[in-house]
Amino acid sequence: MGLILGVDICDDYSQISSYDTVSGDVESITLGGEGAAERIPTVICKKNGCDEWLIGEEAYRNALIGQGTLVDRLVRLAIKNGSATLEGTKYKAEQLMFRFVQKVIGLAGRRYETDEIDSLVFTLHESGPRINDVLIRVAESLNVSREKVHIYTHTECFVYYILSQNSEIWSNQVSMFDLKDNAIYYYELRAIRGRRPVVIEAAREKLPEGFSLSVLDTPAGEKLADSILSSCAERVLAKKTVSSVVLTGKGFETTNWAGEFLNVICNRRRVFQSSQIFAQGAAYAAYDHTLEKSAYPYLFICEGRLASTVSLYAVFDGRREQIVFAQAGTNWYEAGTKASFIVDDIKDVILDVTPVAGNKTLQVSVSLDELPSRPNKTTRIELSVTFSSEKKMVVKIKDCGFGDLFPSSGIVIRGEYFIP
Amino acid sequence: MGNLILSRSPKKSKPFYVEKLGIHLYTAEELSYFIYNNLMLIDENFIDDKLCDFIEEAGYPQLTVKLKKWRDDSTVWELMLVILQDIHYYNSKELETFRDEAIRIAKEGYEGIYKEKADYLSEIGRLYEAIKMYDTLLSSRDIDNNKIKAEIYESKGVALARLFAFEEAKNAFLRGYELSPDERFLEKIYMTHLLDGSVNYPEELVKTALSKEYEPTLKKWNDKYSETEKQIMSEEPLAFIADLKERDTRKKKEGFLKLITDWKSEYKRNQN
Repeated sequence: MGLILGVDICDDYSQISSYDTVSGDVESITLGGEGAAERIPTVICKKNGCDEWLIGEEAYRNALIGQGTLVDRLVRLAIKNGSATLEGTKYKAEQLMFRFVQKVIGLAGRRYETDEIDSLVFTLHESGPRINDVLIRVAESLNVSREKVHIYTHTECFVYYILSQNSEIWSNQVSMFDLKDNAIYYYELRAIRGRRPVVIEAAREKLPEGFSLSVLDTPAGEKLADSILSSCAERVLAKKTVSSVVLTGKGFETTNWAGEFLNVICNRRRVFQSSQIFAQGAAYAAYDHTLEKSAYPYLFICEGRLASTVSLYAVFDGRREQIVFAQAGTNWYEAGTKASFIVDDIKDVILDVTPVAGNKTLQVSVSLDELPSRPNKTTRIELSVTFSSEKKMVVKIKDCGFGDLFPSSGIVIRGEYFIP
Repeated sequence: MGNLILSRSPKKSKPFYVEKLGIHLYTAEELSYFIYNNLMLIDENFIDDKLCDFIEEAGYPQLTVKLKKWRDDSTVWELMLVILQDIHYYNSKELETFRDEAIRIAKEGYEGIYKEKADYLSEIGRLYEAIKMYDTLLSSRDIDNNKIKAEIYESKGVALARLFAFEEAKNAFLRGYELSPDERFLEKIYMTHLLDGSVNYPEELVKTALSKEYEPTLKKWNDKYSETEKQIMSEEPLAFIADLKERDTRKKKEGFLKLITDWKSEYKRNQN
């Protein structure tokens, strides 16, 4: 059996976890073997005068002693479609990302003595068309075929992680604090059990009280940080039935300094700390993709997932039927499809956008005025619906003509629409 | 109310070739459209193994089974109706219209349907085939009505004129006039003369027929001819040729080549 991996790639640190199908648990993989830090700085260094590449702390060390050139912020570089010049050679962000991911995944390969990958989920702080495309191509270059790769947001992997724990953990709302350098992210998850399938709603919020983790180097700074976090927790947890609180992020590697904060969050709640929430959540998700039937029969509504179903009504085999183009709860990057239709006496294509929350269906109308005038029912269109985020739908209508009888004009109507 | 019709059949890489029109059909919907709008081109030979294979590949294997099973015991119109019903490209109202038309054709009898079919072939440019059919009709003993015979001569004359056989066209119009004296035949005779000055114009016959009205009628026909000529010059392919004069040499060469290729294929189709 091949590897089942979850890889968290952030601009500061990256992490990798593997799912063990025997124990049914996930295991963190570190750069330095057992006991070593689970966070791998997302940096790459090319050693001078040779084609040797280093990642993580080793990359920093080599750059510091002048034996190589370092490139950091690899995610941002890829989003900007940038490049870096190392020893006179220009490397595209994608090439650097490939070398970095190759090294990270290589850790798992060495650990389990196999290069075969059965399922791979990358998780990002925020996903987007460009970075997603880059990671897909990187995976393909590593011989991981497209259908075995998925890209999820941190919020989605937070959901996978929590739902993989004992259900008592998420019997009520679950809160999570991710303490990073200069940023605090607060996550919430709740299950809406009155619906079928059960809706899992999750959200992420950047709290305004972020601080530099270097303040934890002094007792006064620790006290200040504890106080800031306590007031944050009091505010965000007020009047909520929270069954569990999770702490993650570099700032929570130790919690000795956060006595006041712990007092606030431990009040009638389970509290646990995990440094690899996202990578482990990704590994759970990766395993789920190897199953015929998902172990998570829920409707996910969170960042990265569509909150609405997109459909239209069309005649099929003589009956008027609803054709679903994208189902609510689907990852936006994987959602959408295309289908061919014959235009029968209509001037606009009307797409129904039905949000999970609320009963009101919105209509998106795409005019067909640009298409050439032909006798009725002699225009075939290819309608494709894709997404560039969970809130942005891209509709393309291509004129396919009607065979030799009415050749295609080649016209493509394209529109972008914000959806709830 | 309008609709979108979800297409079951994607564009096929192996299309169905309709020899009579020189076109390929790539989908089941195109097949439906062809059947519905070209009733006159369909006969017993239309349903063959090639058509059945195409329908199967287009996503309708059950329909193929039905056609193969019923092929020997059903009329071509019944089978066409089965195809249209199963593909669902046309709604029930449109199918009703098709059914009525099929029944009408079945009732029309030999000369009615044959003439209509020949006219249709002439209209879509299959002129040789149309002329052959007109000749078959004219030699048939079943037609003893002079007015109908005159109409067939008239249609034949139009087809011949479209083949630039103006002298033969004039003769056909003349024969039509003899069978059923009507001014429209004289007009067509005069027009063949205008189109081709070498056509032997029976001036005395026309003069006698029109008597005092000869001069004003001739003027009216001349005006009509000028107007039609103007109109034709603005239409394809003459407008296309005029447009080619403006283009650069390479494009002009490519354009003419395409035009000639189109004409050649049309000619070959007509010869079949």
